[in-house]
Amino acid sequence: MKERIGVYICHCGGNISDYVDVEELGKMFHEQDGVIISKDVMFACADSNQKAMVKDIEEHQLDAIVVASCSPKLHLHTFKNVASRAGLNPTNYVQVNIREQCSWPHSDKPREATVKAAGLIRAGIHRVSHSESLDNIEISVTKAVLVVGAGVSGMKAAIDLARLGNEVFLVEKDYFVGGRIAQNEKLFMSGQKGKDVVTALYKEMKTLKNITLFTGASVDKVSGSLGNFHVDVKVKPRFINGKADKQVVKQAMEECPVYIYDEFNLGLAKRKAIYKNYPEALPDVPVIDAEALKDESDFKAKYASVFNFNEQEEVLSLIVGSVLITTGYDSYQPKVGEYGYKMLPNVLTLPEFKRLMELSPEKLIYNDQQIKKIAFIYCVGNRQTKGPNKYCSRQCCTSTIYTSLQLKEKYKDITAFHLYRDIRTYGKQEILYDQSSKQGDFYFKFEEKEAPVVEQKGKSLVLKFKDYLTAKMPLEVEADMVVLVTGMVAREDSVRISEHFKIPIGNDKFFNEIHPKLKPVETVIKGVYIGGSCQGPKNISESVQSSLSAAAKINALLKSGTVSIDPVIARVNGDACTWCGKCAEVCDYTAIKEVDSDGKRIARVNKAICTGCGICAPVCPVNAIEIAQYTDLEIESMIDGFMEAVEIKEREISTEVAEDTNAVTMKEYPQLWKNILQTMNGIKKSIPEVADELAEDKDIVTYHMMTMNKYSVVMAAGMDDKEEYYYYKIKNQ
Amino acid sequence: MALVNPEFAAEITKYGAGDFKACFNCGNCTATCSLSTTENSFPREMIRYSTLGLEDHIKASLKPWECYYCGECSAQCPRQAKPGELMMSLRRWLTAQYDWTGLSGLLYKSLTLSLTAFVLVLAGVIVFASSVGFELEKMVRIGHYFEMIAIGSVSLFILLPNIIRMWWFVIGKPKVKVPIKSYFIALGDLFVHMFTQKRYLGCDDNQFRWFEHFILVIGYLTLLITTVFLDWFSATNLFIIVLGYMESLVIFVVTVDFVLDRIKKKKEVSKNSQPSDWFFVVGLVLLGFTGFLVRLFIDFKILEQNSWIYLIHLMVLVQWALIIVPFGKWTHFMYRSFAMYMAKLKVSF
Amino acid sequence: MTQDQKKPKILVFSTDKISDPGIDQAGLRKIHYAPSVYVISLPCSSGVKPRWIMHALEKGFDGVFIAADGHECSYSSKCAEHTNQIILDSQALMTAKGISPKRIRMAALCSVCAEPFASHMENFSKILSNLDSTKD
Repeated sequence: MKERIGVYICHCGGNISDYVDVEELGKMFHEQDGVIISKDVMFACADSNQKAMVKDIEEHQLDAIVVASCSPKLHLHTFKNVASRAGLNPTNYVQVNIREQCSWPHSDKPREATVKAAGLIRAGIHRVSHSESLDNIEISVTKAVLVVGAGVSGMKAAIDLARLGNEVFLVEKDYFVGGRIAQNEKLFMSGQKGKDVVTALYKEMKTLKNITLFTGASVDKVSGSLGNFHVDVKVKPRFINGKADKQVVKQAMEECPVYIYDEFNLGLAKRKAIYKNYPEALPDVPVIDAEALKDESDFKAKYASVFNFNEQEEVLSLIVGSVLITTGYDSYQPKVGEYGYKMLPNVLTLPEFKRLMELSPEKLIYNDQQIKKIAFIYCVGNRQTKGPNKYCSRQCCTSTIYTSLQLKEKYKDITAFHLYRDIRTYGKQEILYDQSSKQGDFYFKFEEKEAPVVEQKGKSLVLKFKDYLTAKMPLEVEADMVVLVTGMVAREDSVRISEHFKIPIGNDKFFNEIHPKLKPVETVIKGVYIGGSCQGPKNISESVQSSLSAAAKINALLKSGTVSIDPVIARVNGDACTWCGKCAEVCDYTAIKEVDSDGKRIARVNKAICTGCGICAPVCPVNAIEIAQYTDLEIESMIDGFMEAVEIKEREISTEVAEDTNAVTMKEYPQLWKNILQTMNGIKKSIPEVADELAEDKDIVTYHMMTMNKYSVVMAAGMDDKEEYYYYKIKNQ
Repeated sequence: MALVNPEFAAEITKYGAGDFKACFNCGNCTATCSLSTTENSFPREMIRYSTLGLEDHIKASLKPWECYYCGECSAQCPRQAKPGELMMSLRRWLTAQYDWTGLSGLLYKSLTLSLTAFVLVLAGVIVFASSVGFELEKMVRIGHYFEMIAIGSVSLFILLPNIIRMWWFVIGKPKVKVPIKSYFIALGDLFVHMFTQKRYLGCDDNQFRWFEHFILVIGYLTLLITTVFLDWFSATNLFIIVLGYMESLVIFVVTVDFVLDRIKKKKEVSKNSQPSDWFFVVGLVLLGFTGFLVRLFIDFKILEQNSWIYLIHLMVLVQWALIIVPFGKWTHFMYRSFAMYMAKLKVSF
Repeated sequence: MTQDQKKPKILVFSTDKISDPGIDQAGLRKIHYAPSVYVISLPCSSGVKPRWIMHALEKGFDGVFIAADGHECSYSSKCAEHTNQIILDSQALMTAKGISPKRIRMAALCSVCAEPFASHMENFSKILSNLDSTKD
């Protein structure tokens, strides 16, 4: 029980005291309530008051403080810091919201607002009197990081984390690194080749001894928590003999008689059953599709030295302090028939089209037809008002326009039609749009509800749509190829990743951060971070920015070897607990485990994992689990505080406002109002004039004049001659 | 359904249009245009039609003629797409479309061809002059006959059929219903616009431009009457002589100012000059100047000794009558007034 | 005693990240609701204990309102289900004590739901007033 409490009630310069009788409240709480000091202050958050509070705490040896002012969202940390500075545990501080939740919403009923404020403050005093001094929880952490996904985001983060001295395990599902950017011939805006970027990053990784890369690998099992995650990584076999002569391997690749589906080229080419994604793909070790070579005994016999069909799947156990997920995205796969996709021969998606371009160095030929006119349909599978993908994928407009510029550069005689819903080449990317429109690309705007129709007409495709740039005129465009600008969607396997790490998934199926602005790379799972486009659509720069900021956060977290966690978490009363498992059942974070305590089975909370949400508390049949700072004693005493009767004297100067007319029905105005009204008696005057006459500060006159204006005591009466100031006059005069 | 024609933009560019495909459809041009109205808005619509190559829509439209090129749209365009210059090019293109001979289009698009035509006509005049032994009296007499025949035949065989073609594109083909009596009622508009260019006054820039243009038109028309019907060069009536001097002086002064503007390129309207614009203004300068000199030489009685001056005047005159009037920029005088006439027809009475 | 002072007393459980900012916004925009509404903010609406609800009703509150996070909850995708279970458990306790189960109510409230909050309070007030008048 705290018995030396300090209470500070804030006027907020009138925001509170105009409606709530702050001075009266200041006199209400006494020693019998455990209150040693009770003050009403003009601005509680002012430096001078903060200093006075520190002095009070030290001089009067206060053991708890209450500030009744604005919403805790604004100043909770301000006053917690005041407590800390005065040597008081910040958990012995309670903020009472008498502005947003009292003076403002009840500005129509000042007397009752004062009664409510009294209840709120009393509840705060009760709560703080039961508050405990809690210290942050310290956990020791392993200085190692698991990065899932070796795309550009993952590789950049891995490099920086390794440079900062962390052990990094980089896990890539594919047999080769680079992810999606290797599938882009050139990258906007720099014009760099995607593959060159991958090669450069790979080489940089190789110079760092503390990065371990696993390709053909995936996360299999995860346990543990912040500081000490235990992760099992499954590595698939490549079936190649690592010691085989490079020249022989090359020859085997050339002579391999079996062709298989080429995933890297999205089916636009075939690849051999001994393959690399592309010739320079890294690591420089080919992969063998053992299944496809099943019946090729002659070939296998000829190159027996190349194969190692006995290679087995391997499972490696890692211990890491933190995890960074950079698993990226999938491209939206149009439904069969969506804009003629898979029904009409020359309809491709943008990623497919980009592969086609890279595979066609001289002429753009598809289905034996030279392609000269290309129509791009934007926002396919994105910005759906009815479908699940409501978001915009940010990068596709720029990517398409850049592709269009590349087309002209590479094949010269090309006409590009862009059927868009909105062009979003934000920031510097606008330059590309400028170039595209100046090179003669055609732009048409359609609406989702009147999407273009694609039909085959002889060898050409015809697009029919209403063009919103031509007063909704129905138009026809003839093209040799239609490219569907497909947006980004969450990876199909993101559910599996989410199950492993318990990362929440949003309605859009992408991983959720805690807060888009303030905690953009953190997840509610402590120690698990997200970067790149697994979180939502991003271009390469944005992906790298987010993964690097996650890397910085992770490094800061692991740097000291220990982490400090907010003490507001669940705790079990071991005496009362009879282990029924209900709390563990409702916990989304598996923070509660059954343990043995002196021969008794009870629940235990893993402090590193618990988020303090409190879902476990209500389900306990024996009330043996609670959240710190939200104990029964604290909450129930608050309820008692609300209900205690208070006598509020009618304020001498009351500012009751009749809601319907919005006019003031004051019995008496404040003295300054009277003075102002006196100077204005029948004459219109500007604020500087009134201030001069009353020898008052101009700011103060402005404040009161505005208030009087708001309550219809005065009204505006035109501008002065210099058009500098408004005149005011007394209303109804 | 209108089919997009990606080739059209290249075609219209041959008529002088700037980088109009840079347009991103903001509509600033239309917003800033003082002649554009809610019901009848331009130039954005015309830029869009040109980009998409909707030729029939452009041919059926009178909007290019309803613009009097103050150039404010080009000045305000955030993409430097020069909408004003596109409207100008569309007028040239329309002129070529209306012309049944197809010569207008060829001359607009090819400077070589235009120059060849001028040289040929010039040579023809010299051949004619030599055939009459450079005899002044014969040259003047036949020159006068030429004027009358040229006016009659150009009007009958070129201008009239072209106006009918214009009517066909604008009213006939799109099946605009116009009551017969409207054709008479609207005549008032035709003449008002032909002689006053009233709509020009609606442009927001300085109205001095309208005034210059107005007195140029009046000067030109009256000089035409003075020379052709009052036979200025043979006149003895002092009033007619002085009138002719004044008219040719007006033409000379105003067109010199126009030429200077086009050289200085300070105003938006005079920044972009196509060969057809130069031929027109320079033709007018020379027409006024040589006419003035011829009469001056007559009055100082030195023409006999200097018959070359009349030969030059005749060269300019024949080029004017055979190239610039039927196939050149002169036609805008006619199409603009008929456009206002047909615009009146299109709104139901 | 004026009419207003008879207004039912309502205890609202809100959440720090979502519904409490919504209620704050009602204040910020001076959207009025009855001053007999008191708010306690928790991390998550699934953490309200039925015994707190019972305590409030027994101490004189006329009704308890849970301003839930619904699908916006950053802690649990099953937040709405959990909160709903709390309501059911509380109603069982209330019925046993002869308190009308209508005295507890729940609605999802977003971080900008200022008007919805005020209208929830208005409606709940009416329901509670009716309960009182029928009892009399």
